[in-house]
Amino acid sequence: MGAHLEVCGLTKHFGANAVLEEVSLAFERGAFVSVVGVSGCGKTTLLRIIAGLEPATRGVVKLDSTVVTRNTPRIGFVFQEHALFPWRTTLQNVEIGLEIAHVPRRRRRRAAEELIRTFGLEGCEGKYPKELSGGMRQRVAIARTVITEPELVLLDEPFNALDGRLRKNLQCFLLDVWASRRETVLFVTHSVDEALFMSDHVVVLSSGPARVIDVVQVDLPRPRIPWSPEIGRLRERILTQLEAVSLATSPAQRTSR
Amino acid sequence: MRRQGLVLPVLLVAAWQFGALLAGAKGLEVTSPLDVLRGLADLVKGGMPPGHRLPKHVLYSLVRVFLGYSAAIASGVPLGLALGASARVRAFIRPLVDFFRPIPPLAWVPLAIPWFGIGVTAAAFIIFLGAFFPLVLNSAAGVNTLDPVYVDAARTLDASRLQIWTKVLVPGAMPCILTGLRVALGIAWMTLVAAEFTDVREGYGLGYMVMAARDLQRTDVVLAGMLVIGVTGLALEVGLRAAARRILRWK
Amino acid sequence: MNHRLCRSLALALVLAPVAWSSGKARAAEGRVRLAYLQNDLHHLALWVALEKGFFREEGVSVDIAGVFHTGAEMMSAFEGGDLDMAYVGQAPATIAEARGRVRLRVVALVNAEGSAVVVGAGAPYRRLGDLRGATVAMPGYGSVQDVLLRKAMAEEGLGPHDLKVIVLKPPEMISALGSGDIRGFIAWEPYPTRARAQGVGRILVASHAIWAGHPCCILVAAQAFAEAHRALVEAVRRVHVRATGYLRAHPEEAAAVAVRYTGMDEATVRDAMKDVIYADELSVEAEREMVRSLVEQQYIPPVDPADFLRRFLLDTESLAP
Repeated sequence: MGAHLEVCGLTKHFGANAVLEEVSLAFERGAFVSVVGVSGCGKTTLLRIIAGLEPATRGVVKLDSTVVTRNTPRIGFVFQEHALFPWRTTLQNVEIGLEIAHVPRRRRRRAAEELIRTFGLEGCEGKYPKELSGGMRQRVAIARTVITEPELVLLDEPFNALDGRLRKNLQCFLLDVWASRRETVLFVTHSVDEALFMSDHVVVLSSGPARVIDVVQVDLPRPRIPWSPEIGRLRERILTQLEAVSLATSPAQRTSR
Repeated sequence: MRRQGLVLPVLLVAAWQFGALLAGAKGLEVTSPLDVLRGLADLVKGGMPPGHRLPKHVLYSLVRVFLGYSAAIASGVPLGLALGASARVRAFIRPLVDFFRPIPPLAWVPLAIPWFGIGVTAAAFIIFLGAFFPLVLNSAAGVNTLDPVYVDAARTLDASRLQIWTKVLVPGAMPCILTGLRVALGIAWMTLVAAEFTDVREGYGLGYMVMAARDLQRTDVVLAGMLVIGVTGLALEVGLRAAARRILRWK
Repeated sequence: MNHRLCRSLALALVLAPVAWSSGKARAAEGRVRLAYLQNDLHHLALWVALEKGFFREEGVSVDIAGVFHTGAEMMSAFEGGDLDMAYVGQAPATIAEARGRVRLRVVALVNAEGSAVVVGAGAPYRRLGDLRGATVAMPGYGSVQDVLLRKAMAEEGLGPHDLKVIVLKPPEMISALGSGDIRGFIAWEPYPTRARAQGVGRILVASHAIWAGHPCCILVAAQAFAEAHRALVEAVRRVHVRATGYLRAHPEEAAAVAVRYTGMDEATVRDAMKDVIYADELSVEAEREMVRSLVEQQYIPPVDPADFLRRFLLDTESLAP
């Protein structure tokens, strides 16, 4: 087919605990995909396996038909807790991907400075993460990830710590970044609204273990209106499925995680 | 806050001087703060032992500390980092560390002299032993307590093993390493003075100086010597603290 | 609250030295707390007295309250009130007395001479002057050996910095000489003889060549103890005189005792004993010379030897003319 990202029968067991069961997905290049599910259902594990941070028990991940088993510069990751290196300034954090790739100093400095400017972070170059606000930190984290121009960017609930206006700003910010670069994005969130606002496809996962219940296409032009009837219908569909999942799993199963 | 910190010492010194005067009036010999100052002047002008002046004593002590301390850093920090990072290294090395650590450095003197002779090396070895273990343990803790997400982040940025060490583990462990450096420096300085009481071929060193003063029953010089030892140790500590503040300005 | 704390602290500081010094003359009936120097063959009379039970016969109960490495350490113990009497080097005792750290009284002489300057067995030196610029070890500042060394240096025309004088514990001197860390040392017997027996060193200058008949070790008593228990001190002196006479008359038996106290073999001990003069009578001129030397070497502040000795010696009747 021509799928960019392919996940085939991905299964993960932690000892006797089954976390992921036969997860299969395929998406075209440049797609913005969200993954929703209840908290603790295994979304993060899925992301970590795709990133090569953890091995799968069964199944493969393919990027452009090549099997991926360990970390690669083709895949970038934005962590929930930004994970900016506290001992590095903004500039140093942003440029570290290029530093690791042995890009000469002047070139990588320039690339980092430009990215900082594009992301609206002028003035922050010399600041340490502790001096930045939450929103700024996430922007720096995204900058750090995209500077090496990965084909696939994974984001693990990156806006969890933010809400209201700030969260909205960052969602638009991410969409802008994606629009200008067109990487494939896999975006994990527990907010269905966020998923519907941002993505082309929404993957709905069950829990205990995680299985793909549904993949919802969102063929609506951006920017989307959150209260539009189309969005409302899709939201209802997803929420119903998630509700069914919650009821299906018994309390004992739910707390066994 | 600094001014309040001076009140008690000044009061104590004044009380001490007063007490010494009283005791003197009763015919008892008590060394007073003024005597100590005179002893200090003696250390600078005449020297103790006679002819061995203070600056050279300080220099030799600093050299011994520097040698032992540097050796401890060069071996202890990498070992500690390795211990913190690798369960296998821990399994092999940790029991040895735990066995040797409780042995006081000065207990090694009877071995150090036959092994290294009576020169600088023997004293540096004793100091090395004192400084080594805090460095190992704190460095290991630095790696252990580092949030694994930083290593994950580096891996997703395609860092090699070496790069993970140099760009994440070492800078991340730095706060603990610096704590280890501070603790080790304090122990090194204390160990030095005692290690210098005997077997000092060069004839110079603050511990040696105090011992000679004791042998010649110059209590005023002994106390003056202790004052110098305390002040020098404090200066080292303050210097290290300032350096740490600069390195850890990101915290 | 702060004020009261300050006042009590000040009071405590003022009273502490007073309370300290006055509370220490606590000798139980007929008991003497005695000390001597480790491995110092000069103190053989004491060891003989202990082994032969001379103290018991005089009705004196002896507590060996310490075996010290240096005379200076012993002075600290006197200062702390932990000793009543001791066998100790003359120089450290005189220095401590002159500097007001202790109040002691000299009861008797213990030995004269019995130290030596030792150099490497194969070294080419013929006199002390040949060691110019070399590193030489002695047991401690203000020890009798230190005084002797400086006297010898002066006689050889060596200035105080023409030799690198350092402090080592006598047991370490021999190995340091062997390894070349030092070129020579001065120590009390049995160390010089031991160095010779081990083939490591040879005697360059014996102490009698530096100062014939120089006093070395003495028997001292804390002044407070001597005043409170004069009879006890006299009893100990009698024991010392008897033991000194005994060991001169029975050197082999004394050597056997020395073997037990020094852990060395009999041949070496017998050899070492030959260089020591065991005597119990102080000499006025020698005492004055010791005080003069210490003043000259600036180890004690200037003082008239006669005045000093009048206080320092327990009774002038014990002085031979």
